[in-house]
Amino acid sequence: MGSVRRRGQQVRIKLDADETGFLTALAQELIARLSDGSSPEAADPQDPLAALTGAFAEPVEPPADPILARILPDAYRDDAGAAAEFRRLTDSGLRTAKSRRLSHLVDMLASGERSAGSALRLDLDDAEVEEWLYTLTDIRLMFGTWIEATEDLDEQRRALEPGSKRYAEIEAYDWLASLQESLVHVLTGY
Amino acid sequence: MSPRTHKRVEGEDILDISAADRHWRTVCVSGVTWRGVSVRRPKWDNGVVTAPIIERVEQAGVDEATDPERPWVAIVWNDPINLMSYVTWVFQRLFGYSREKAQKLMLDVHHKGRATVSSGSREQMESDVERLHAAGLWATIAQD
Repeated sequence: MGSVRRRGQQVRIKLDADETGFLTALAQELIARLSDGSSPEAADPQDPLAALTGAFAEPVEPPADPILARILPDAYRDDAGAAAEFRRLTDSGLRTAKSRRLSHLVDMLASGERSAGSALRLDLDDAEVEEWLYTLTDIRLMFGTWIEATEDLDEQRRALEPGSKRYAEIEAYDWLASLQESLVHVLTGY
Repeated sequence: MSPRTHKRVEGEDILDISAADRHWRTVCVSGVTWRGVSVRRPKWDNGVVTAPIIERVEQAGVDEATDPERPWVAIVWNDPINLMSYVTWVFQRLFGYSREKAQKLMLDVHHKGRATVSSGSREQMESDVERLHAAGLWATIAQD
């Protein structure tokens, strides 16, 4: 079982091989989803300035994928035109920023030091912990939407057989939550 | 940003902006509604700048939908996934709120289903909501 501990200026994260593999797989899945259906302008290397400003971005349809719809929600509830304009200007930048963070996480998970028992050990500074918090949030939004998470998962689990698929999903979801909770705790003290 | 030329119209500098870049805003000054255009600045500048007002709309009175007296707000909605501790931290981190204020807003989101987390100009709220979306919170813009 992984652990998160503060060691002076650094935060040490230890993850076992299963946990590392699970996080990597989820991050890669979300990177793939974020690159689907994004505007072609985002990938145009000829005009990095336009990609940054969104100035010439074409209109972007709201995502049909419920996971992306949660991660990139409409910014206006009752004004479809304003929501579309906000999406046109922000969609590419948000997708790029989120993908970049996810790729960085994948790289870190692949590169960290491994102990004898193949557990991964990473030492992060506070800025990196913040990046992990944002990235874990997007990963949890994906996984939570996937398994249709509700606020009463603990109650649900009590009624389940430990070997069932649903039980395993809730266990995995809980593990992601506890990892994130530990990282908030080491950063803020609460 | 796209290249721009300046025209001089009635002694005022007017930005000539490509159609794709136009972002019309109506502004009410002393009971007269004007139409202006705001131009999105690059992300690293984190905002929107309003170009000089270029057109007087031939109607007196205030358009209810764009009344500048009514402030714009950023609203965060409850969701079953985000952690309470994380949401509190985001409010502190993005808006510089005290832990107490951030926690109160988080509890409002949790118990009432939503909370207004900031208010100001429409442009500021769009920037705030973009940052909230970057942090994974479910946020929307509305006029109060």
